[in-house]
Amino acid sequence: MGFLPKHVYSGTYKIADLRIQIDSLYEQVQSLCADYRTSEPAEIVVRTCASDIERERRLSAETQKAEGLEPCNFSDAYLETLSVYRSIATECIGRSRLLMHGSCIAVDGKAVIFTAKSGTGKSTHVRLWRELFRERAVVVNDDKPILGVGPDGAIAYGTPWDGKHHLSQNVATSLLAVCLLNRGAKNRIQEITAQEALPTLLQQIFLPEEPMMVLQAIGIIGRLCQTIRFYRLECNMDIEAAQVASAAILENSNK
Amino acid sequence: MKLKYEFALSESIGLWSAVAIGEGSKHYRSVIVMNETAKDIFELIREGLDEEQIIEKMLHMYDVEEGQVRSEAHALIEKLQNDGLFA
Repeated sequence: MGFLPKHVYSGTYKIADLRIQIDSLYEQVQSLCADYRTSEPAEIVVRTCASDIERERRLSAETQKAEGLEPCNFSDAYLETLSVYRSIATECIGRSRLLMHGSCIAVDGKAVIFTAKSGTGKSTHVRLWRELFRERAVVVNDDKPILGVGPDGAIAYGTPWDGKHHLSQNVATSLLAVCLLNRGAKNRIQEITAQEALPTLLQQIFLPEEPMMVLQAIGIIGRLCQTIRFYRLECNMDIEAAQVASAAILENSNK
Repeated sequence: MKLKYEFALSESIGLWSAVAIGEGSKHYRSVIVMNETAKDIFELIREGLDEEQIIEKMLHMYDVEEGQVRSEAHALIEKLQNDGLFA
């Protein structure tokens, strides 16, 4: 007889408009998702086991090695949170949604995502937008928002997996644009085509292991591209960076 | 030239994406993004043609500049070689 893992903790949450039951071995993922709790019945069940946690440990070590960092001794509870989000991201693909690595901010209910490799300054740039727009700005998710494509266009969803500064809101906002961010001495922005953006996007979205699902995810990007604009931003850390970027992106959206 | 793995292709926003399938999906996780010409070249690589045969066939099939085909074929073959995709 095989060993059956004990799922001590369970809760149902509404994340990206999906009702997800999470059965976990540790409490951490349940408290992480507390703001998203729902009493509605689940349509998706995510259940972790010890081997998922071990796999996450291996993947984290590989990522850190690739980034030239020393391996971290992550707790099993933390690794379980990563595993749960990986499962949710995989489920999203069959439901016209994608997980993107980026910092997402909404101004007056219209969202923009800044995406780049870790350490480039996405969160720093979003902080400048917050300084510029103050109460008009809401950080949808500072690290890993979920994007959806519906009949009314693209949507950016807040999620509990919100980076080291823990900035996110449980909101769904209309998505205007994705901006590929690079550091630069001066601030300049240009609109680029979806074709120009695609290779970078493919490095910044979650792609599952199953190859046919990868193609399905690329199809979702294709549909996203029909409703949003793309920009390439070179910026420094001055407030002028947010002024230059927002002037181009928000004014363009009114055209 | 022979590719090590089987690939599946799909088109989105005017670009073609190729992903390794079957056993290959365990070893090669990247997505190869190609324009229409590069995708046709990729198809000929899949048939096992070498660089000169591909250029000859592309010039026979399409009304394209030889210089452009040579450059695109060379760039794609070099990328596939660098990614270790030839058997």
